[in-house]
Amino acid sequence: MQELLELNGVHKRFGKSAVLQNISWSLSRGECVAIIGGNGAGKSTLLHIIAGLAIPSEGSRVELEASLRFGYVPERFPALRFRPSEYLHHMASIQGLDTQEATKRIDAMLNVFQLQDIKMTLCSKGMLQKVNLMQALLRQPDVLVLDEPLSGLDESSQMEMIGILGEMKRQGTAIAMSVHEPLLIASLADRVTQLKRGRMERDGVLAIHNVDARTKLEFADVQPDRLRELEGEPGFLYWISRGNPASMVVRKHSADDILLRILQSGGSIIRLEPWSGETMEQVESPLSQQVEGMRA
Amino acid sequence: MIIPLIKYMLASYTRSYRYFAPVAFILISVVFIYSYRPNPILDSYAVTAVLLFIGSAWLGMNFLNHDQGRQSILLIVHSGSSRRFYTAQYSTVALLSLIFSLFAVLYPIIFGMFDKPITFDELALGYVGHAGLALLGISLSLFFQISFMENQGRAAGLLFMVIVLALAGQSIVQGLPDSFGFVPYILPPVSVMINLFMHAEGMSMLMLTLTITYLFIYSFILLVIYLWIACRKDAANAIRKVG
Repeated sequence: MQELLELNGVHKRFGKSAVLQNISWSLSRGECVAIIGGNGAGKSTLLHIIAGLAIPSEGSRVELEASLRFGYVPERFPALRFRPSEYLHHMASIQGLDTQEATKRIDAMLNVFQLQDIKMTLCSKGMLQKVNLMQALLRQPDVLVLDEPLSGLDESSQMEMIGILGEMKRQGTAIAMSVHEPLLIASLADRVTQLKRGRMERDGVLAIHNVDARTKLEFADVQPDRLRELEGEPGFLYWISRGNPASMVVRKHSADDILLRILQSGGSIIRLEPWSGETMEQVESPLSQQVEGMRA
Repeated sequence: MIIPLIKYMLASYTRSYRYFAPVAFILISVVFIYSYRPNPILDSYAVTAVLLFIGSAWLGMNFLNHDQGRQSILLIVHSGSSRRFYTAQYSTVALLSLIFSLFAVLYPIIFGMFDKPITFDELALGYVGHAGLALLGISLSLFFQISFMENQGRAAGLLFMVIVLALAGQSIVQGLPDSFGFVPYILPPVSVMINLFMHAEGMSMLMLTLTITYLFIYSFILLVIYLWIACRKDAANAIRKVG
């Protein structure tokens, strides 16, 4: 893969406190790296350095391609006194995007994200998070840097967001994101970088285990107590959503039995499809088991 | 790409309604100065230019803090360079102050508040003097915004002290030996400009031009220092300070 960005022995200090120490890291086109670690581990500072928004106190940050375009999604997006479409039009013209092209792109994005074009002061946190992502995707960035992209989103929006980020990745955008949600790591990340008190503890490629074929079931009208019973079925793997409609991932060979249980519980099937995302077990098991190819 | 940035900043500022206090101060004080007639031309301009200097410093600080830096980082990413962002920020507030300078100069002419008809030289000197002092006020305010001084109470106090020193420059050195004559020029040269308005008729064209050029150079140097410092700061600082 073509490398886009490299950090060599980066240190970052704020006054006397060292926030990052000796970080050597790289990012390639189409690669998605999840940066994990506890509070105060230095995830956001590392993202700022990756995006070129903070200058390393020591060491170097090298862009290996000329005029890389960066997209940055901060953790929190303020409720501004603009409608999303107004704000996005302003950002598009600041980026030098032609008005017609911008209008087309913004309309398409508002549609995909199913976002109402109301004043942002009236928007929920989830709606603001969508605007936050949209501003970074106005022009397809070469490197997309996201700080906790799923925080504040409901389950269906989380799935939408994962779908969109997956699409960006397929189109060649390199993604660096700080995350807590195992679902996002499992669905998107090629590599996990773990930070602890400013030091890189691990940086490795996610292992792809041989797993059984899986099926995603989407269904509606099952009572919550019945949902709990379905969890006990052999072959159940994990929930994507416990809402109505609900959606779960099961082992393929158990899908028929679980379908029958759903129908017997008074539910109706909406969709059934093979599931190609990574398994939750990979994420929930200790990181030391998932991470291979240690480089730190 | 500076113009779209300026448009966004103007839209963001006007929608915040924070501009009300400094703008009201500038407009009301000009109208108040000309509440009776007739008025001497350059003496009145000296007073309104000083009020505009104070109003512009207030307007500058108010504008630079209106968003508390929440959007700065994204605007830097979208515009592609922090220098472009900071330049656009300065240009936006400078544009506003140039418009208010025009108001302060034209208001008494339109409403016939002067004791005699104004000449072209007086009009030109009036506008350039107002614009120069307004830009000086804004250039000073750059260093007292939230990203430079987190404690805004202290920042407001310090800016007020600088304004007072700038106004009192000539009076401070009055009792001192001649060798201290440079002090009003080292301080923001507001008192030098007041002196120029008051005694313009007795001054040579060269002296007038040099003094006014010095005023603009002083503001420009402040702007260059500001850009030099701001571009070497982490853009991400704004997020840390707000969040």
